[in-house]
Amino acid sequence: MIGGIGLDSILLLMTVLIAIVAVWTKILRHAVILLGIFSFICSFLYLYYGAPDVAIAEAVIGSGLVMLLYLTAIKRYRTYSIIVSVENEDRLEDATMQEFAGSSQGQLLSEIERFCLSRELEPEIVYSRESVAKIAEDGRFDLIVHPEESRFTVYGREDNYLVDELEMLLILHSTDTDTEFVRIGAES
Amino acid sequence: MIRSIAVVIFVALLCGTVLWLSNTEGDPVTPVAAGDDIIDVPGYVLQNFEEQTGARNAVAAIYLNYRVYDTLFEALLLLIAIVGIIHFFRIGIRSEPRTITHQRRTQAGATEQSDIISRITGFLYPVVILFGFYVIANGHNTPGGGFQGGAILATLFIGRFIVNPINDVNASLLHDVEQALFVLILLVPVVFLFYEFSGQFPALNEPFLILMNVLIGIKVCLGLTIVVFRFGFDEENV
Amino acid sequence: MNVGEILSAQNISVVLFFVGLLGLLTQKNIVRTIISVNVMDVGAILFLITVNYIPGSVPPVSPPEGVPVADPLPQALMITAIVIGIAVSAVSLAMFITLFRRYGSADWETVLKRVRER
Repeated sequence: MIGGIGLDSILLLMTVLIAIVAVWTKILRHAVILLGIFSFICSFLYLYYGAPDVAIAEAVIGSGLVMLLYLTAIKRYRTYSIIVSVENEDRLEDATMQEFAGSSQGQLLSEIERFCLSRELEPEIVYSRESVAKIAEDGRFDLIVHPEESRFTVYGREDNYLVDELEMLLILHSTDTDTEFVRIGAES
Repeated sequence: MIRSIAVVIFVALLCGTVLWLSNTEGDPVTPVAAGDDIIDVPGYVLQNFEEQTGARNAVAAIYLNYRVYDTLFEALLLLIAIVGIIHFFRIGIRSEPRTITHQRRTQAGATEQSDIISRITGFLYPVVILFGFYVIANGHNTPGGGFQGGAILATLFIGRFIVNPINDVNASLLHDVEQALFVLILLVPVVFLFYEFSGQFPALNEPFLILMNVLIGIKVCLGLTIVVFRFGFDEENV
Repeated sequence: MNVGEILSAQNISVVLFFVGLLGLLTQKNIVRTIISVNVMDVGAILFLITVNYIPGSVPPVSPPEGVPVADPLPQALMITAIVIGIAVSAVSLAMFITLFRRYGSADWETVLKRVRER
């Protein structure tokens, strides 16, 4: 207690500083962690002001569950699922995939991966033996790559803007591979 | 640029006005002067809650007895929020189960599990269960209650999700159970408080509080578990 | 007026609310605006907890005689407010993920431009 400054004044000052940093920091993940710290200091404040029930609720919900929801949401919106439809392969094994990655088809995939990383997306590549029509009907994809002997067909959603940007990039950069873009209409 | 500076100045002026207004001494407003009796709600609650509701925690007495409507509609709001989340994740995704035989190749190291975290979570399991049920069952005597205990129990399922991200929780079954619990949460206070059983049978007050806390705790636990699993596995088993 | 009186919980909670409002008005990323709404939420809760606070109050759990007791009424309401707060942020994050899937951007202006183009 120096000059009327108690424990609560220091904690209150810290909450304001952490709130400002959390809203205006550059990296989204840091903002979420700072929000958790902010909630935790606030739960100490509630305890100081004689509200232990609210302090328990804020500590469990505010700094535990909300932070987890934010982290899962950030991770979710950044996954971009690319499905490679290989109908003629009998079995899917690691060896086939490695062979696949080395060929010219692999170059296209690595280009798509580089595109995803430049957009801060996490590419998730799935190899499937089903036909394109069946995958499109299933509806859980962002991009379908269908390789034939020397050319590719890339199927994307009609209403997804990332596909437009990807098409522009592939047309500009890779002239040697024959790539065709097909749009699948939105379901609803 | 000019626009954002204008926004900053506007918000700063608003903040300064509110601070100035809240720190100036205005004319003292006379509290509800209807006749002679001036109503002092906190004083009334703090004097009478122990004999009227059977609780020793005034906060639990308020949200389970004096203002039970708040709790009912808060439970309804959580239910509606879960319905909304399920709806938003269903947009654009067909509801039939995944039929494609596939093999995933994720980025290297993305799915590796930490041995330390899984072992420590295993140790913490019984402790967390005990603590959650303690907070729920003693909510009317000590700080705690249904909401807090339910959230503590929900961290169990979430810890399991972090250690082993496999979706084997039947979300629709959990949602049905949650709706049934909501109907019970509606029925118990309506029968007990609105038919004034609490005045006739004072011995039933404490069991009523414990029952309500347990119901609310399980409902909140199920609701938060559904929310987190929907965020984790939004494309499967919708 | 000394420093401790200026740094009271009432003043700081007002400042927190307006920090959240400023973030809500100026941030371009959608997730950051949801974080700002959370900060506003905490500011409102802190204001209502301390609205009737007498220094040195004890918690309202089997309160002893002759000591100032914290007001239990706003505390009971704020517990529900916290649970409503998590519901609000969960629903807004779910809406955001759906929006991102459709329009491919986490930026308000880009999303609005693409909605108008349609």
